[in-house]
Parts: sequence; C-alpha cells; structure tokens
Amino acid sequence: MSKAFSDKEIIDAISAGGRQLDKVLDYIYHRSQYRDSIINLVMRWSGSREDAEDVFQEGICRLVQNIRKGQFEGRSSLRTYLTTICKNLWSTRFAKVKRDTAREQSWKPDNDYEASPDQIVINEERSQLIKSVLEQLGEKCKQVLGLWALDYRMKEIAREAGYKSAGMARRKKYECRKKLTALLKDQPDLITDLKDLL
Amino acid sequence: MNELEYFDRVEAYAEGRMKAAEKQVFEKELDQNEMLRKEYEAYLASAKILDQLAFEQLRQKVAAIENRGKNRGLFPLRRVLAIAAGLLLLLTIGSLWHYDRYFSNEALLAKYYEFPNVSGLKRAGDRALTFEEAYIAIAKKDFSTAINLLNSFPSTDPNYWEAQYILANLYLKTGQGQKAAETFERVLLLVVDQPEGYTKNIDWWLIMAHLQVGDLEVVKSSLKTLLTQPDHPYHADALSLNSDLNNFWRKLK
Repeated sequence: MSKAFSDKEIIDAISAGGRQLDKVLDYIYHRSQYRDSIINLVMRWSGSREDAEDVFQEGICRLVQNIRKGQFEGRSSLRTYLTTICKNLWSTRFAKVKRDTAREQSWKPDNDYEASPDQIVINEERSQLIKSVLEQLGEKCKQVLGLWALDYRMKEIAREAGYKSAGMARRKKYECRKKLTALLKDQPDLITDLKDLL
Repeated sequence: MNELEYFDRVEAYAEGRMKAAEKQVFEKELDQNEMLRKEYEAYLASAKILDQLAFEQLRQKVAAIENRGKNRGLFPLRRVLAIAAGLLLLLTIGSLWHYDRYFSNEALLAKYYEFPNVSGLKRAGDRALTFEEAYIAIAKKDFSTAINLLNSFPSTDPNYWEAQYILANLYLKTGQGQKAAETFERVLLLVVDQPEGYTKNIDWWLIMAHLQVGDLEVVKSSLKTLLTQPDHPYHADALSLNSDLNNFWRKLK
C-alpha cells in the first residue's frame, strides 16, 4: 500500500503540477479519507450520493485551483479547508437547486476561505465572449494550453494530447498561445474585463 | 516589425527569457509602441483564459479519476477472471505438452520399442545376396529399400522367416503399425520351430504395433496375458507400460 501524504506533501505536489498533481489527485480520491468524509457530510446535509460526489469533485478542483493560486494560507488543515469549500459549494450552488430552506439557513458561504464560485465569468456577456474565444481556439489547443497551465511537461502533454514528441507539443503550445492572443486582440472589451481581474 | 515578432518578443519577456538589456529596451518600447502594448495586454489577458483552461483540464482529470474509481470495483473481478483464464490456458497447454512428451502412444512406443539387432540373422546360400543388400540398406537407414528387398521373399515360407521377422520390425520402425501387426502375426506361425525367444519378442512387438495403431483394447488385453507370465523377458516392460497407460495424464487426456 502506498504511503499517506502529509498536507505539506499534497500542497507541494499540487503546486508542482504535472504528474505529481496526478499522483496526489489519485491519492485524495482513492486512498485518503477525504472523499468518504465529504460524501458522508453532504449526505448528512440531505444531499443524494450523486450530489455528494459532484460536490466532492468540484471541491477538489477548487482546492487545487486555490492552492496553485496561493490562496490557501495554511490557517487550517487541508481537510478542514476542503470541507469548507464543499460546504460553501453545497450552500451556494447545490442547495439553491434543492430549495431546502433549513439547509440554506444553516450553511452560509464562508468567504474567508472560498472566493465567489466563478472568478472569471463575472457577467453573462463576458461569459459569452470567453465562450466564443474558446470555441474558436479549438479542443486540441484548449487541452494543450490547459495542461501546460497545470505545469505538465512537454513530453507529458505530448502523451496526453497524442503528439509524437515533446517538440511537437511545444510547437503546438506556441501556436495555440499565439492564436489565443490573436483572438483576444479582436475583443478589446474582453481584454479590459480580464485585465481588471488580473 | 510584424505581429508575429511582437508575439515572440512579448512571450520571451513574459516568460523571463530576455536578458537585462533586452528587457530594458522592451519595457521602454512598451511605453511608446501601441501595437506592442496591445499585443502585451492581449497576452496578459490570455493568461486569465489559461486559468480557465487549466480548471477545465482539472475537471476532466478529476472526472476521469472518479470514473476509474467507479469501474475499480469491477476491474479486479475482470482481472481475476482474465488471470484464471490465462492460467487455465497455460495449464491446458502444459498438460498437452506433458502428455505428448511422455504419455502419448508415440512417446510410449519410443520408450518401449527398440529396433532389434538383426545381424545374427544373416542367410547363407539361397538369396544370400538379397539379404545382404537389405542389411546394408538398414545400416544406411534406407528403410524403404530394405522393405522392398525383403518383400521379395516368400511371405509364408518358414524357410524365409527371417525376412518376415525383419520386415515386420521395419514396418513398425517406419510407422506402419497395421502392416507390422499383420506381418508379426504371420511370423508367429513361421517361427514355431525356432527358439522360444523369437516368439517372446514377437509377443511384445505385437503389443507395440497395436499401440502404434492406437488399438488400445488389444494392447491392454495382450498386456494382461503377458502380466500373468512373470518369466516372460518383457514382463518388467509390460508392468511399466501398463502403469504408464493407466497414468493420470492419459486419463486427463
């Protein structure tokens, strides 16, 4: 059986990205207590098993995102932090759908830990513009740039995206980034919006 | 300077690949060149989009891990079944190989039959030359020539029993079990006046001939008779062959 990761090891691996991120995600999912405890909690909050799995899945993504952005300050254990993220997700997103008043009263979002649910898309118009840019970018570019942004090495990107070599993946990344920049230049308002978020 | 060069310079700057002097020039130009500034701002804005792309990839990865986990419960069973099937196949192949190697009719024949030394059977006088040619052919392992030569001798004349005796062994040696069995049966009638050893040899070779043909009922019944004769020169071989015929591997087959 593989060893258990400490909080520091998990944070380091998430920050490093690439294969280390894969390894730690697998650990969090399958060999730590994180998943079971969150699922039990959400089910105790009257969520279904499916709700609980969705909350956990989204919670993990947020946890990784926040750590990589340096937004986790280490004031609590990772488990507590993840629980808070999931609790906020449940109350702000899932519980709205459920319309469970009692539950909504019990769990208000804890903004000390978790930022607003979607930091990028602040209004529908911007959301549509981003969507249009991403559509024009194409699936392959989205994948390559997304993996690159998660600090995967070029040979790992090549393997995942189906390129023969790291060199080809590097070339693709260059072309995609150039394409993305060019697409954004056609949307000056969007650049301004995004700039405000920087 | 075209847009492509702007992009390359912006990227080099943003990724920290510029030398100090180059960087200074770039920053100064950024203040003065609107095209370059727009390229730079678009590049910075694209970084925000990259965050979103990273998040999408993360979602996909997490979803994939989740699905792997859901399938995990089924996987061990599939794997166990695959391993079991593989082992069964190996066991079957191994068993067949083991059977063929040690317990097939061919393997038992190779174990229990040996072509006799016929040099003592040389004829003098009548047709001695043909006999001699047959011996030479046997020595050269040219069994078909030897068979043809020996077939030229009368088959039911006790005066030429040696030719039939050798011929029957040649049939057995060359895999012609049925002919060997028929010839040995005939030789038994031709050697009644010869030393008993010849008859005893033929008892055994007849069993071998029937084994070669695969007529196991005859083999077993002949063995049964032979096993009642402890003084028979092939009694020990008969015991051993009987045991091999009743071996687990043959039953498995």
